[in-house]
Amino acid sequence: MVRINFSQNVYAKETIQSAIKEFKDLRMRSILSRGRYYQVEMTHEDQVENRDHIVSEFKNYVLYLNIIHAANR
Amino acid sequence: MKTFKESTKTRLNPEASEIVFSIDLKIYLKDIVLKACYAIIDRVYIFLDSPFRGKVDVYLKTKRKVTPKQLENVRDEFLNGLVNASIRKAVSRKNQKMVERIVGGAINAALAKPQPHPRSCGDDEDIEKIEREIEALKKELEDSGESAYGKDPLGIRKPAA
Repeated sequence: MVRINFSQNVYAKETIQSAIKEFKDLRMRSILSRGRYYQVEMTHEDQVENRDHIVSEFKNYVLYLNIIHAANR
Repeated sequence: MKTFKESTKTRLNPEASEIVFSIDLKIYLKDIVLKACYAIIDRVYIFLDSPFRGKVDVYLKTKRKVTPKQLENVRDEFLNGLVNASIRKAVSRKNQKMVERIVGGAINAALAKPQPHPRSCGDDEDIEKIEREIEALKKELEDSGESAYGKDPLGIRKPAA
């Protein structure tokens, strides 16, 4: 299981939730607030060899949504 | 004096093709950082972290293996993007009023009711010509007189019943 932390100073909760929906096949578990972070858990064990790549793609997608979200605000 | 590497707190991780550095949010606002990210997000994996308020750590990871020098080039490109976005913001703020006026004027002009066209010189000349022709016809009629109309040279006039 991989835990990804997103700083609440930078990322909006809605963007992380939208990204989780897009990556639902990879069993991204919904977010939890941990101090100043939102935490996302990925529990897809079949994809261990590609895990870093998937995590990077997920983080990039969250940031992309965050940029769009900030631009439209 | 701090070096460039020290002031940005750059950490290189060539094995993971990753470079990490810090940005002061007092110099570059968050929206500027996001715009700089947008410029390269299709080529690089980007992750932002903010462990302390007022600071952002930027993680740039290339999609394929690159040399440390190339990683530094990616960082430099990102930092240039920050300056670029800042200048764009300053210029757009400075020109905002002028742009609003120009756009407002254009919209007003497009929405205004069409005014009747003022007569041009060509129209005046045409009207004068027509008036002259009418006068000439009137004069011709007067010259020929009513008698010409009442002559009936072919004898086709029928008396009224």
